[in-house]
Amino acid sequence: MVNGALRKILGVWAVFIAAAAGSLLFPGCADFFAMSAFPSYLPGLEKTVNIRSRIPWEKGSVFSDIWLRAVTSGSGKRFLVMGGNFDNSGVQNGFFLVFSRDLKHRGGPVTSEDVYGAGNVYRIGNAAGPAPGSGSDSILLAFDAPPNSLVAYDVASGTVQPYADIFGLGTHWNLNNPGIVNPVTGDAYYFQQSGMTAVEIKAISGMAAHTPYTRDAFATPLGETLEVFLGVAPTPDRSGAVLFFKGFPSGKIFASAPIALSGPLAGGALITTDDTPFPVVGGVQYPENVFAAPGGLVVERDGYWRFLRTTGGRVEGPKKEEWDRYSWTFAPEGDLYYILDRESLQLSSVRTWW
Amino acid sequence: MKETPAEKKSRIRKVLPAANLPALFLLLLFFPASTALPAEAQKGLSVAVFVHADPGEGEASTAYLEHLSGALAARLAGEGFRVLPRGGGSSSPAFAAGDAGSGAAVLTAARALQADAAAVGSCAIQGRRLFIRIKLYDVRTGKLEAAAMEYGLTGLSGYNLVEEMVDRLGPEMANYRESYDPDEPLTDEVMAGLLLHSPDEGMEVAYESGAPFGRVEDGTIRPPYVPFRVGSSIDLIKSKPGHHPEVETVTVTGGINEVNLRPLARKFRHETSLYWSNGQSLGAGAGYRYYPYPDYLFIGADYQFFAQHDFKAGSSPVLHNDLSLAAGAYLFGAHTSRVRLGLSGGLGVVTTSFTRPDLPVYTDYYINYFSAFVDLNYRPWSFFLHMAGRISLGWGNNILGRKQMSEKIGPPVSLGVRKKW
Repeated sequence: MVNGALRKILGVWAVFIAAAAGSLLFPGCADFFAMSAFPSYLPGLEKTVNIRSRIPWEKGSVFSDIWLRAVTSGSGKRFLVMGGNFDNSGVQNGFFLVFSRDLKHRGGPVTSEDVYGAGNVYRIGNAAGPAPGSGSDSILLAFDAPPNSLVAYDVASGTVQPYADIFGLGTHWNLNNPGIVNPVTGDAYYFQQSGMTAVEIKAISGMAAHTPYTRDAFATPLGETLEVFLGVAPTPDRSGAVLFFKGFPSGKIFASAPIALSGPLAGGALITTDDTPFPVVGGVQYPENVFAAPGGLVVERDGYWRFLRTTGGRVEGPKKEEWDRYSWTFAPEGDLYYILDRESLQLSSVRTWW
Repeated sequence: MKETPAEKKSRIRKVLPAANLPALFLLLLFFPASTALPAEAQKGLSVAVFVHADPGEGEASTAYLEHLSGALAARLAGEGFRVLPRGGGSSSPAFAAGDAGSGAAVLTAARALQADAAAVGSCAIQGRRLFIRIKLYDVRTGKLEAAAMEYGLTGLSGYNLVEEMVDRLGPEMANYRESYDPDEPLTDEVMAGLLLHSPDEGMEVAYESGAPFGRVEDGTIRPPYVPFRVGSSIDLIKSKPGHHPEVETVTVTGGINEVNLRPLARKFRHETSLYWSNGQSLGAGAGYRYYPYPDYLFIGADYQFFAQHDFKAGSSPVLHNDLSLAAGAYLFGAHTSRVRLGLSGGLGVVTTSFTRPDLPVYTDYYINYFSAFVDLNYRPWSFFLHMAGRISLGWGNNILGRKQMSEKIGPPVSLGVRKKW
């Protein structure tokens, strides 16, 4: 009887021993058995800082809509901008904090009261680069403050200047796509969806006399419409850009061939990643779980991050972690991405996994 | 095989002494054993009711006997007996043929009637005094289960005396009926001797009520002789320092009884364990427990080491060291039970090192507010499954903040093996 019981026990152990061995042999299995209470991005952690003391809060403040943006200034410097709202005594204010990519505090907070004066309190909009004036350390900050919400924040001096919205960008809740700066010409471009069939490129700095310039980067493939514009990523030499969108009804991700940004914009041919990380219809929580990055697109599905290469193939990344707790962003240039723990207000840089 | 009336009659005649028949027949007064009986009394133990007058009483006690018979039958029926109907009891030829005052005659007559029990009452009058005796026998074993004797004045108060006596016997009647054992051994044979063997040298052994009668020496102990009846069970209380005391029951057989006693279970005060936890596949844990109350109540410390590493270029291993203290107890299952369940609680701290000089070591303090474990017990080894409910406190330079420390695939579960000594 004892032998029988021992055999059963060893049988149970055999399952776990096999599972442990399998977890070493097969990455997917390892993920399953290694999902500890600690975040799965820790092996790539480069640096972490606590930013609680930087936030203009009063006792009892309530923070909301906190997010991260990786932007590039007009001088080509790369920054990390954290934005959010705080509610002091029932009055909402938007605020920005600026960090260098190595997480050193570089500016801010810039609050909506700073920009628009006391009593003019507006929610936060977004941040993007570049700002007018190639060569400056300015970045664009956007508040929800019609009619013109854009301001240029000079990181070096900490000054804020109104920015002429020559392209009528308005209140930029969707100023999500980081601008691309051409290091040769200093020209900078902004990209946004234009209707259901094309992506529009606007040059927002460096062009002579700020001449409005728009064009369609490419046409949608036959039978598809542009359901969601997913983002833009620079080419490795930053002389061009690759655009991504989700097609409808296929649900596939489409990527443009690199579009040269120097001189007259040259249209690029369309390529297909042949990957369908999203449900065919709907379901994309744009833009928080999609980031364009050099060489491909970072997407999240089923709780896991993936890097989809424009040349084909994918690289599995860490588990998404608790969505309510963390804000993520991916630097469009470089090999780091950033995570903000909204509970502990820890800002971390993490090495990309691809 | 059922006995035919002819066979029964023949057997009864063989048993009873023929010489007594005429005298007894004259002495005995016969009364109906019962009249109307409650319906529930028609089931259960059957009882035959006999009454008789002492020799020489004549008709003087007839009225009391009649009353005594009726009261006995009613009381027995009320206590759940099935009183044999009219035609049995005192009217039985077997009873009439025997010495009505003797238990043997009553039992013989009751067996002839196939009764389970026999109640017999008698009256005697001396001057103005009335003597009454009542006895209740178990027919199969012949044991006297209840008895009473009383006297008082004759006259009307004599009837009250009869009623009071019958009522006083009621609890004993009920007790007999409730404790009736149809398999009670009939033998009176006793064992010849008892010799105990045990691997526990120095173990003291005692009978159920008494001081230890000796210690085991050279694997043997010979208890003082007590003439235990064959078939009976005796409880032996075994004790030895450093071991759990135990009561072992031995059923006595005929002749010399040589019994190999079960070994005593040692009291384990120390335990070490090794285990593996979900969510921590690249690692393992080890623990130590001290039991102030052996095998049941413990305090202990655990240490777990596990790593996070994605084996990709540029990543560095993250090392976690988890040290915790706990107190708990086994709440379900004795120390010898195959399956045991327990609960514990405590506190601990996890340090996290990134194996990089530019990142600090983080500390996450936590409270283990509820842990449940189940052991598959093969003393001194056991295999266990342990589930923990933990909350990180968010103190100091921590990673987790204040949160429930649940693994992403469920609560933290450990599977392991422990050894006690």
